[in-house]
Amino acid sequence: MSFFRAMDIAASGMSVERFQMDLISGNIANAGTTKTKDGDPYRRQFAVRSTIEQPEFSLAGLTGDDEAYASGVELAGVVKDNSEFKYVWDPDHPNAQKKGQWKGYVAMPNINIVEEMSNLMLASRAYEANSSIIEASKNMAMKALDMGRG
Amino acid sequence: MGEIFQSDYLRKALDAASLRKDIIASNIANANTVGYTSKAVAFEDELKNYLAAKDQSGFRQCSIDGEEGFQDAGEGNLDDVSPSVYDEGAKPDVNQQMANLAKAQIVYASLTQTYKKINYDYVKMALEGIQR
Repeated sequence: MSFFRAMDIAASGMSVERFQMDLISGNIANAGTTKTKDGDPYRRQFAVRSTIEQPEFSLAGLTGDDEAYASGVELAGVVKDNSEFKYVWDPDHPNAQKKGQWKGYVAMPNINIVEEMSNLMLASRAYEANSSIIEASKNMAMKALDMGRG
Repeated sequence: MGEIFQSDYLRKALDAASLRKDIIASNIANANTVGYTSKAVAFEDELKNYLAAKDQSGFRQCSIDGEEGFQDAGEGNLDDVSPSVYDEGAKPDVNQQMANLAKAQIVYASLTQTYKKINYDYVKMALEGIQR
């Protein structure tokens, strides 16, 4: 049913953006975590998305083209950012490096707070854009219902 | 009846507006998906071409003596005019998509209003008479 198609697609977008916001708040909360379970500092995480073409999203009815699809979005996976940790001079810190070229330095997570905040704003804006699709779909459906009224 | 043709056009345009809304939903949901390119709907040009082809081949003929309705002298079949989806080749611009969504909503509202007038209100008026 055509109206619900756009709503389902928007719902998939909202889920993914919500999850992305969760990852970002995890990154921000752990911006100072110098030691995790595996011994390393916290590594930045981000979400990888991919399109999803469910049969309900097919546009064959409207266009006459069997290959036409409107795509939803889904989470393909969570990836750890493999960029370098940041090293801060702090020889009295319990997690300071004991030997090697970084002796006396503490390895800090590879998180840039400013970048995380701007990603958070992007995800939040995308979430709002998706929710306005649902509102618009609802409006159009109600207008169609109004045709038969009175 | 002549207005049946109008309703056909209206239904096609309503389909196109509804399709636009779905494509916009797809673009916005995938605005941050790597590798996804923006899609758009083509319809107005096809409709224009169909109407131009119709006009060029002559007037619509009206048969008085037996057959109902107008004989369409034009070429082409309205059934073949369909909205289609094409790829714009670039990452979706959320602002542009939101503007397109607003346009699609307005177009849809005005089309449903017109459709209601033609198919329901005027018929109802004819059946009930104009209330003074």
